[in-house]
Amino acid sequence: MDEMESIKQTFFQECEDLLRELESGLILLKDGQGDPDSIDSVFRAVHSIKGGAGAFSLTELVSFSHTFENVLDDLRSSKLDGNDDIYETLLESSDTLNDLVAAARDNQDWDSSASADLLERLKTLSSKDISGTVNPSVEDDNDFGFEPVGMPIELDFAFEPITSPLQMQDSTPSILEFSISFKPFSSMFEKGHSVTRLMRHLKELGDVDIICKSEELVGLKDIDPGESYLAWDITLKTSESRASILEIFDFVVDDCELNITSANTEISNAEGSSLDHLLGTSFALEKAPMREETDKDAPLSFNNPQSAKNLTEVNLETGKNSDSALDNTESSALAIAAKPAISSKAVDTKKAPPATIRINLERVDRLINQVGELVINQAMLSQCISDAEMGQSPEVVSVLDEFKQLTRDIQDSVMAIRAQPVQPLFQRMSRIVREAAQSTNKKAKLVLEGEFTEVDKTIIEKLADPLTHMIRNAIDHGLETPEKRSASGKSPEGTVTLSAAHRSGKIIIEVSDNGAGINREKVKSLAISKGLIAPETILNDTEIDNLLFLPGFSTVDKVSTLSGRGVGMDVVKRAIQSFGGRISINSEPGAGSKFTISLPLTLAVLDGMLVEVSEQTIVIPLTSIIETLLPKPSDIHDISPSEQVINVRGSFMPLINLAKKLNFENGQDSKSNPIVLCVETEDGKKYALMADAIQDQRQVVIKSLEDNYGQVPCIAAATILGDGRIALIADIDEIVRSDAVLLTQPAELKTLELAHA
Amino acid sequence: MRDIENAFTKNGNEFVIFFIGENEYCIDIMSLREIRSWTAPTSLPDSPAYVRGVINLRGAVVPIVDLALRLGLTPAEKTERSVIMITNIGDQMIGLSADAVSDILSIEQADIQAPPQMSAQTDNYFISGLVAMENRMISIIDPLRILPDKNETVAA
Repeated sequence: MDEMESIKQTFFQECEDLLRELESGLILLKDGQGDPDSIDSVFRAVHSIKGGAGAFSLTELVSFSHTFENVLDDLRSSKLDGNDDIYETLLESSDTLNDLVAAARDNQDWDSSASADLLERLKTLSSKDISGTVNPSVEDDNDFGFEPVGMPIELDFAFEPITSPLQMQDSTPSILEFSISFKPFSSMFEKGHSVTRLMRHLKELGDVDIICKSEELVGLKDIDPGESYLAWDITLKTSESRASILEIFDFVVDDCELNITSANTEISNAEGSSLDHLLGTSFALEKAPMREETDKDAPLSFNNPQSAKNLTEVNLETGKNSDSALDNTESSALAIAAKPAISSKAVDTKKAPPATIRINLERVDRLINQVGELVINQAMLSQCISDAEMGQSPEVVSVLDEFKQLTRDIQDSVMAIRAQPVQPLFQRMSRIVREAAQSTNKKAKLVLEGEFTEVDKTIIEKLADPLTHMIRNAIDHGLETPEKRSASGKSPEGTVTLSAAHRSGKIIIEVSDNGAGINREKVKSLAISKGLIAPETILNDTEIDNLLFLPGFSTVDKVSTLSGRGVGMDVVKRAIQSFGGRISINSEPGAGSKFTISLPLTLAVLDGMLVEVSEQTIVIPLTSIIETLLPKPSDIHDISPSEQVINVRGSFMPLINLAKKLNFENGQDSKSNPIVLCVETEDGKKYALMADAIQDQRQVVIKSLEDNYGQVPCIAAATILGDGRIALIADIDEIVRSDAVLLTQPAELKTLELAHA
Repeated sequence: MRDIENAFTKNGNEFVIFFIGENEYCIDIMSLREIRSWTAPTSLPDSPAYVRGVINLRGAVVPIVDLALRLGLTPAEKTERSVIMITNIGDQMIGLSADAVSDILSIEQADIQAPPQMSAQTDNYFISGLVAMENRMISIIDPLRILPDKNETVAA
């Protein structure tokens, strides 16, 4: 049962890939960039889902995908001409299929009425009569684009006696003639193989004519008894297949020159088949020992070929299941078995994706951890070497440099494992665009740029919600209605562009629309009417744009079903900041708005400034630091016995003594000339932090404190320094929050009330 | 003193014996992951005094509990013999400091006496049993109770 469940999970994982393929294929077709391959691939995707669903008796899924598939089949066979409406319907069906798969995965009941209308529309599109229900298990594959190539591979490594020629004669009467040229290397004799034995076995297959070639034989006095001088040409007339001949040479194939050619070019009966050819050729190339037979009577255990790739897997399965003598040649043999399967495929997979494996994320994380350790260890080793004054030796220096380079390369490669292209995430957004456009009666298309940019997997997961919200916003608030657009000379269909790029160690994700842009007058008056800003406040354009991020702000008066559900851009901003990102707006009236998210490359490392606080090293995240100062004592003022402010170019900022805040004070007074870091919190307030000295600025690997201990006030996490010591990473927002209550209580309260109002 | 045969008897568990000041304590060897020489930990702000800080154990951040402080004793200066015993408690790793590790003994269940009920003193709370051996008294530490209570951490 558990096993079944795990197969089912695999199916759902594959479904995800297939659905993605389906959607991207449909979008290509809709945009008129599709070719026969695209329609084949969308058809295959739906078909595979149907097949798998049938195996798990997911009837809803089967019947929907069956109808869907029929339409696609008509499209493929040109019985139906694709137009925008049809593709819209198909895209909608792909969304529904997505939902169905999700419902099946989560064991939820599917409300068939939800898809009934769509199903009807699909049925009217399809020319086929689809009365009655589809029985998943007896579903035939006749309408499918390629014929399954049945190839169970039997992996018997010649341990059983050779079938007698007489028996074979009965089943396969046709006689073939093979010419075999065979030249053993001396290594073959070293391994104790005998030519006589091989010839005897050949003889058992049929009539043989053996000619020994002794041209290379040297004179008796020059002869090396360990050397091989002879070669043989054999003509064999047999009813057996080439594979049977190869089987005889199984154990010597690595130690000889072997060339088997068939005198009859045509191979007459079914048993031979082109597969034999392929296998035979690959044998000559690969020289791997194995015997195989083709037998059309033994059907594949799965009769639901999905793609050449899947077929290969099926073959591997079959190979493993047969009770064969599995030894380490198995893998090479299987690899060869797989080759003909791919080359004999009827489906053209021009853009075959690179081979991938699914790995438990935990293992990757462990590897990343260990590599982090390696980096630290390497730094410690360098330190030791310089301490031991061995650093002068040029050899030590160069080896150490290589070691450093290697460690860095390993770290990069390991980090790259976690990185994934944003494409799947971006593609999911096209559905959001479709749905949002439909419910707002606007026309919109999504343009993706840089979707192959790779981002840490965790970030991708966390980006889904903010992006969904931003895309909805862009369509709901950003784009105008088709009428308005036409009136202002724009194409009625609006464009939402979603782009990703690497820029100076950051990931930049932009959501832009070519809509009306931000109506700043409206935004400002709204903010005033909601009491978010004072009426007399003078704001520049950027400041007005940033009002959108205030809690409790919504530009649309009526709350639409889409965006404006009380969660505004402030939620988006908070979500993005929660994983170390920043968001900004750029808007041009009449031309559209652009939201730019900048993200760290990974959540595992952080750019930090290392500061000294009471002899402890504290890491301050670089993203929150605005500037660093060396204040004059006259700049610092006491406003109460426990509170200080600092005068920075005329404006006062609350000054927080880190040593005091973190309880690191060892009774000694803070240093005479402290440094001050100006930091900005998530809500844009500025504070000054006082520390003893700045040590360094670098990337640090984030380590959790909570795994083995628990949360520590004002500390976000820990990291390990080059010398192996642990340094703590400060949580700026928490540090200032506890202080803010004292200093800015009235203002805080006011905002809070508004947020709740 | 060293009783090798004893360590391999079937009944009872093996315990690691260590010193804190003059007192002998022991801990079930199964809850020990490794013993390391003392390294100065990085202090944590707002933590109970007995949490000396955290150290780096091959990439993991491991908190160090000073057993002397935890047991209400005066901690000795850390010497070359001072150790950190890394324990696995639940799914957490915690380092316990001790002045020296001396021995591994197999102690039979029957030889373990319940700690006497003295008073509501917390110091006694960490001792799950006592073992009398020749003239010595060894207290068995219950690592589960050493663990800093999460609520306590916040309160402190």
